[in-house]
Amino acid sequence: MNADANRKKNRYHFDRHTPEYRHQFETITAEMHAQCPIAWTDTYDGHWVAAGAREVFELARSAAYMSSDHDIEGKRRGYKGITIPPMGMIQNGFVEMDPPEQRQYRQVLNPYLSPAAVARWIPVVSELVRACLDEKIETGRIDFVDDLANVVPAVLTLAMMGLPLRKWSVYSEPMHAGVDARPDSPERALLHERAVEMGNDLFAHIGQIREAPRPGMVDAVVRATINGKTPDDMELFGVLLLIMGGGFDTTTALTAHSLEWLSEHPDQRERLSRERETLLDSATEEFLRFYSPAPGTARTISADCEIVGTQFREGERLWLSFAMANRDPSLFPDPNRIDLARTGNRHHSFGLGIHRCIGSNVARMEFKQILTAVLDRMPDFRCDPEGAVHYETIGVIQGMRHLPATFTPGPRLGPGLDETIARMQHICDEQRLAEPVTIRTTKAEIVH
Amino acid sequence: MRYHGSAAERALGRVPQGGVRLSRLIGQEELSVKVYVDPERCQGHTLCAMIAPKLFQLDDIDGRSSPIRDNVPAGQEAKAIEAVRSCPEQAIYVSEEVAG
Repeated sequence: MNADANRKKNRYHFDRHTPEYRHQFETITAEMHAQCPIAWTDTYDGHWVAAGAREVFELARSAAYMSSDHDIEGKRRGYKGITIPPMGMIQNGFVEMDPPEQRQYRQVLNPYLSPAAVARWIPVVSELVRACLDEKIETGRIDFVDDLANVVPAVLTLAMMGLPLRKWSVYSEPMHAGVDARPDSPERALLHERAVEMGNDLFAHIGQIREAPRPGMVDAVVRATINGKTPDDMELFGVLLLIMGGGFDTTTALTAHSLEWLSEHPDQRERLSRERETLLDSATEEFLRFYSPAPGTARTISADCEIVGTQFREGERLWLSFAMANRDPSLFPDPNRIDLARTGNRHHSFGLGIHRCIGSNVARMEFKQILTAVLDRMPDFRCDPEGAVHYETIGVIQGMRHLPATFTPGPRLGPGLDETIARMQHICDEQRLAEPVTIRTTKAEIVH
Repeated sequence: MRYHGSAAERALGRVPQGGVRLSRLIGQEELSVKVYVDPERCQGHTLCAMIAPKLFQLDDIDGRSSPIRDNVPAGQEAKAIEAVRSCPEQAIYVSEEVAG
């Protein structure tokens, strides 16, 4: 056996872009944990796959040997970013950068996304959730994806960016389509068309905000100095797509899956509602662990190294499976069971190390606002399994397209969604809500 | 001084293992429990402050954690250990030190 074959002696045929991977996720995961927590697979030109919790932990935190760089123009080492196979002709913002640029972007955006910054938005989110539920509350029917979990994260993300709230669907549709399609599927072509439309709008806003400052994350990156220079429009475009990609589909996926599970487990739903003061945090982390909306990330080995007993060579590609690490029985007892009170839940769903999801505080806040409002206003909801549509594959996002449900109708509490979005826009503008926490520290005030 | 939590244990060459029981020591007045956050390892996951808001504070600007005070108040020891166990970066550790 030659040295290379010996290095790659733990092999596993791994293709996370197939429906089979979704259907057999728990079996494949258990097999890999037992046989090869790090394996070589020949798929997609060959790459490593880390499935074990210890392996993913050590590798994700070895930034000195792991590059996220997506070198579109071949100016550096030609690395292919954080997707396998490589996707798109755009560097996906700072998640496909290495330090120091990566760190500098995060420093620019942290004051918009820290726990203190995010808490300021709670009254706005609460109003948006209320309006989404009011649209449906009298009918006894709702699609938790289309009517709620798609809407709130998209509107809030645009608000935090400083973009017009009413345009949420222009951005939301292509962003969702972009992650819900196999690399070779026809949806990709359609996505391209919509992405162009969305791109034109986004480029127009970059130009406008460069001319006339406006609070929000777009303003922050447009005016940022990264590595001594002002980023060009293409780079900014990638950064803004990253913010939207992170802000839209992941929270939708978490919310939909959790509501689906709670519908299937009414006793647990009742318990969560009743004991929310003590259970809401741990339940949120448990849903994050179990459903891992963003199931992993890729790296390129940037220097020969040996980590957790495997020798890696510069240039090799590696898939870090947060979703599989989250089911590792060595870290999570009874890993395929949802335990709303789980302790020691150091899950990997927001990633690890320097690339930890910068929007994690937004995701948690939105999720908790949505979940508690549904528990309060639609306590007996029943999801319709016939109508539920899961993403066919879970290679990019473990998401859902539709989740229709019925419930006992109730009374409206306020104006509908369009009117509420217009009011929230007014409040955003008037109170300059999208300023960083360094400038504005107080919560949004909803004036009725 | 005894350390619990993998950052310190690694430094001391011990096998990392979260969730060490301190109950044996709780109530022995000569020992005090201290908590540390390694600022190099912390990435602002915020779980510690969720679990033990009386022990950890989060930076307003980047959300990184630090202990509110080094000494863990009586009755908070279990929360400190749960924070150690739950830290995704294994950035938290607690120690027992002889007081005075």
